[in-house]
Amino acid sequence: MRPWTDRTDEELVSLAREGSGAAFGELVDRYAPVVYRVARVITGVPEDAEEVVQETFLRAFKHLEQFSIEKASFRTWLLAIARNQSINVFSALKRKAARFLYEFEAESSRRKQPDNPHAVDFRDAESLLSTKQEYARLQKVLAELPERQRTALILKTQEELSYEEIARIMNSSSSAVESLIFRARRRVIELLER
Amino acid sequence: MNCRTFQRQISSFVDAELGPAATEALREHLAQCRECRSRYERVAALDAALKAMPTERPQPDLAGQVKVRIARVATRRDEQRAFPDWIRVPLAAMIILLALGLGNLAGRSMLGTVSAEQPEALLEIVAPATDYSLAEVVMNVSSEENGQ
Ligand SMILES: [Zn+2]
Repeated sequence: MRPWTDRTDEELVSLAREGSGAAFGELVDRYAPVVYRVARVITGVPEDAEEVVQETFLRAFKHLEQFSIEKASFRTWLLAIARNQSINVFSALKRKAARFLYEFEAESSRRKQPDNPHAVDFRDAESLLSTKQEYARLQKVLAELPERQRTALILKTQEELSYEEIARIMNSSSSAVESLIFRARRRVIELLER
Repeated sequence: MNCRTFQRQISSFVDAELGPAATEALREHLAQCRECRSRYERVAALDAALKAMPTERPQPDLAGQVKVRIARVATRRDEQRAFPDWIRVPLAAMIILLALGLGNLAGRSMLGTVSAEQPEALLEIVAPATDYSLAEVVMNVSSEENGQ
């Protein structure tokens, strides 16, 4: 028998539909990391992201017959579920708490270092955000974006998905995704230069 | 086309999502416009930073935990598939059946199937053969080994 890792997603899905737990297990191994990364970006909390991973695969498993390759790839379908789950977890209350925490941290770091500690030189991509602290700053700026902008930007830059795929995941259109990413970049640059 | 329009396109350009004609026009403009070029460099630098940004990894056994949970759901589902709905009649419904005087009939046929297939706890219903009043129905939940 061919090893699971050699099989396409579609083959694994049809085997899983026929009751193969091992086939579905291979899909879990394949996609748990990306589902986690996306959930982490949306929820902002590692524990929540892990819960989203669990719920996403559970839902995918229960609703496997709803998946159709004509509509989307398995990854796209799975990430659409993951995004919905992440939004459910990332409730309005938590968003408020995260925002409060962010402002609190930003305020205290301003007080500690009054003269612009984070001057970023955009002309040099190599040196940009090369240290851990600078990445932490970028993370914070990303956390300030509206969820849709942040998700679209991350799916494009980190997961390298097309606008079309992102649109399917976010239940939107390519042109709307284009606009979200444009606004996300503009806002991130503004915030980093602040 | 003005700088504003070109700057709007820079985002799709770095994403390689801009059409060929527009890409060509933008390239030409960037070659001669300092302001737009500076904008492009910022967007490209941010992009490089986002791509290089270390992503957090989940705890090592997350996939394993997911699989365990799914296996549990799958087992439960297989068990449920082995029992058509009518067998999984809630206890209350069986009591009502018994009270209505159908107890002997329904109880026996259900028990026959349940004890043959149900792997875990099973329901043993002992109903007096002659009197079907609810008060006299004795119910006893027992496990497979000490039941029947
Ligand atoms: Zn220009």
